[in-house]
Amino acid sequence: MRNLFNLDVLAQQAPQLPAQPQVGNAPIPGQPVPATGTGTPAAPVTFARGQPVGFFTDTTVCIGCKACEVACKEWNQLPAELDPQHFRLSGNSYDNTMELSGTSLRHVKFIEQFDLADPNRVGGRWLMMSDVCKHCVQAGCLEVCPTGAITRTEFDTVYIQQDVCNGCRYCVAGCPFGVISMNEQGVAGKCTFCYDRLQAGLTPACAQACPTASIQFGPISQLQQRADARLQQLQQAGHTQARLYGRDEAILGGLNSFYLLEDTPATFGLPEAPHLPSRNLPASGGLGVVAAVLAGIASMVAFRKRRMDPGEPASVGAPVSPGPSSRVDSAEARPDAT
Amino acid sequence: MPPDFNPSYQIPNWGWWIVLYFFIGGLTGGVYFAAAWLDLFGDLNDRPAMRLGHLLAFPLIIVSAALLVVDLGQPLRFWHMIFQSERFPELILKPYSPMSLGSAILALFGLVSFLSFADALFAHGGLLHKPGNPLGKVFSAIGALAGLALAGYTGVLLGVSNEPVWGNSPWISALFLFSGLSTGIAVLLLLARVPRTTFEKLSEADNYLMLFELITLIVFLVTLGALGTRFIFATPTLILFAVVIIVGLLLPLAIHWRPKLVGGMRTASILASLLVLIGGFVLRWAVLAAPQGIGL
Repeated sequence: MRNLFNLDVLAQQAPQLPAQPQVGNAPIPGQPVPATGTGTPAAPVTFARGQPVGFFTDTTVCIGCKACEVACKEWNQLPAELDPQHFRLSGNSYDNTMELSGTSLRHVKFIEQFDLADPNRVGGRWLMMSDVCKHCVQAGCLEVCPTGAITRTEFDTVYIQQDVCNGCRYCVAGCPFGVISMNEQGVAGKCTFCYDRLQAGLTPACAQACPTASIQFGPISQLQQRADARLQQLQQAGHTQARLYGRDEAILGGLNSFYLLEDTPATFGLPEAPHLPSRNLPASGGLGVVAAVLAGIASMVAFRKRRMDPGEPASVGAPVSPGPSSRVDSAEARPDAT
Repeated sequence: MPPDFNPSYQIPNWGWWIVLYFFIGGLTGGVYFAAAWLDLFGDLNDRPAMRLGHLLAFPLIIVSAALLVVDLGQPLRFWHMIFQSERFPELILKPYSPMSLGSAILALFGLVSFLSFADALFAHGGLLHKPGNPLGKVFSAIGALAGLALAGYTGVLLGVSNEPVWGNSPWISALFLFSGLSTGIAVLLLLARVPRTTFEKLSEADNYLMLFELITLIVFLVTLGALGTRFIFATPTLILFAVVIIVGLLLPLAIHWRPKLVGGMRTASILASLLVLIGGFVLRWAVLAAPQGIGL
């Protein structure tokens, strides 16, 4: 069973949305929504509020065209990478941005496996993968965010409210996939799953633009069936290394953006066993408590001792008076002064 | 068994403001903890040191909070840590987020330390913390717990993450707690004009805490296994940890053990306290630098 992590807490924190009248083709809450485009060869996608949706990315058909990157930038009006840290070309790859960032919410990874010593480059291969926030069912970023800026939407996606985030960057440290970075506004940025488009019944821009149906969008249950069929097809064709990553609950309760890989997750720069940051909370907090008890006992032992060597000076330390009150304190504190 | 290493991570760029906050915040918790413990378990001779602790803790926590605010990407939204921005003045507290818990600890500590500060400043410690006042004892107990939490929560915060080293060791909380208390006591030893009995009590407590810190630091480094080699031992961060161990722990312990080697007791106390403070600062730098780089 898919577990919506912290759902109760989030439900209490989430603002109650007023009932919205239907405008134009806007969807009616709770009703199936026809999508205007799918970008996939499958049947048109319909989804409803409250229904988990996601991406199934079939990396075996990605051609590295970066249409998804461009569509994401255009729809979300994201600037070019002007940060000197990111404004660069790799120089040795067709992979330009090299990683996701606060303003590059999609990134097509180029995994180029060639023997550079071979002038004919025979036997090499090019793996490509359109990377994005995984919208984890158990999301580390959502878990650690102290402000409640990161929420789970009615579509089961993970969304950062830009006007609530204060830029503490804990989500950056909490994400097991290294997805989140700061944007130019000083707040955390990552894939929004085109929340605005979902509300209007539209397919996210990246999936809409993908020409090969590498990025497929739809209700999670449908995507899982499609992924299972595709995996079976590949394995029957002899691709024994093909596997699904994040399709089921084994990885963080399931990833709402899951992948078909034709090699190990490490080959694609994905962690084999990502985990929630809170897995460390019992041990780290427990050791902190033990240390506090130990320190308290040791200090108590030290502070309860009463020693006064008459041969030694009555006071030591810097010649800083503790203040006017030392009149009382000094009289109390220094038996030899009374 | 070496801990798992997360290959895909982004560093949060917690730089010098956070190094300073971790240092001053821990020290502040230690100052109030020592003052409270002197109130609870000390005698009348210890009251000047207690009062100095109360005078220092509140201003220091204000400095700590200011450092945190300055570090935010949107500093004017600092209050989002405590209040729900959409439903002000409803509070927000997320039990799985050490940063959220830490914000609550800061707020509680700020309140307690303010009342103790006001008592020390305006009533010369003769009202709330008057000798024998049970309310003052309760206050000291609450403040001591808040001080301990303040000194240690930053280590939990780092542990509850997916960053290499931080997320691979549960020992940072204990390490920061011992260090915070030790540096807090060092501040009192450095600034307070105290009777010899109080001095000996504080020095002895500091020795215990430094020993605990040394053991914890060694366990922390050893249990990192191969990850320690990759992120600490084969990097310039190793120098920082060496400074912590030699300058911040072994030397002060040696000075406390044989004060006559560096002159009189007063000189030894000042020198040892300064070294402890340097060690406390460098420890925060070293731990934050492990996955982020020594230049932060």
